[in-house]
Amino acid sequence: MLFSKVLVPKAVREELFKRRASKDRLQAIFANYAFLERCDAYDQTAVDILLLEERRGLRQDRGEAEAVVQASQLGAAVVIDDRWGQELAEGFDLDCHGTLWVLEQFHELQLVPPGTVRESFQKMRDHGIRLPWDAIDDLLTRIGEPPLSE
Amino acid sequence: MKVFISYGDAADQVTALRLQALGAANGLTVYVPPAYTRQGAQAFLDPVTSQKLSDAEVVLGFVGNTLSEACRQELNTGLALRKNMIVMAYPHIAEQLQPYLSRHLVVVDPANPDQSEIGIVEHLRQIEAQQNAKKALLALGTLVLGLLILAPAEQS
Repeated sequence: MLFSKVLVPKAVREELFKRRASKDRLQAIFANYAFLERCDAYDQTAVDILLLEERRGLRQDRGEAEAVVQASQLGAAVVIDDRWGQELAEGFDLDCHGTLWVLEQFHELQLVPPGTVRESFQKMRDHGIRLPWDAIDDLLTRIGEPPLSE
Repeated sequence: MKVFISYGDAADQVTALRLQALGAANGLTVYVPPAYTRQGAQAFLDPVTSQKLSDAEVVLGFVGNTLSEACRQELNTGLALRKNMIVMAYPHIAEQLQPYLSRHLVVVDPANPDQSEIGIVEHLRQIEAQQNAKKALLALGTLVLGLLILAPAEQS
């Protein structure tokens, strides 16, 4: 396994729970995999400070801020794709990675075959998820898969 | 500018995280050792903490109530690495720290907060940093001061 434990902050869960399909999927994952845990025990005031200082009150921003504060409190790495969230993690001097890195690691550890890596990225692209698609095409080329932009 | 925040014990971590949030939102890179470093007496600093200390330009310490072994080791390492340091502590803890941190210590006396503020400014004067970084550090120092002064009853 890549991580011994994956903690999902409250605001991230709330965001995922907005859609019925992702809510059902996440709840099934929580029920079936013990390494994935709900986590609410982190300092909400520190999160509020970040959102106030950055003058960002958007709900999706709270997810990133909660993930960063939680990771700092516990000494964990943080997985964030959003640019603002990545800058925040940098300010907290955290080990920060994106979805690209996670799938790349899965592939390097031979947990996921190249075709599945491509398929996963294709699904995310079809769902309109914002990711560094040029870097993803580079990765796909490196692992012998055709880039998505073809 | 990279800042390492060393806090006394587990109870002080919340204050450290809030300082970290303020510092990061104002352009500083601020590291706070995770909660597990304050659980039990660790014989040595963990490698991540050692690396972060080594990378930091400034070590900001505050000891609210108890000086944990991890905090003591962090402050000692900061001294050994000749880091710019400001350590704030209540008088009763300050006595314990005075022998080896005298030059870096700001005693937070709730009865004389202005003296503590002057102490922070004096320390910042000695630190070589850009003006905006000094302002951010002064803000963090003042905030620590405020947090320590506002909670003296709880601590004693």
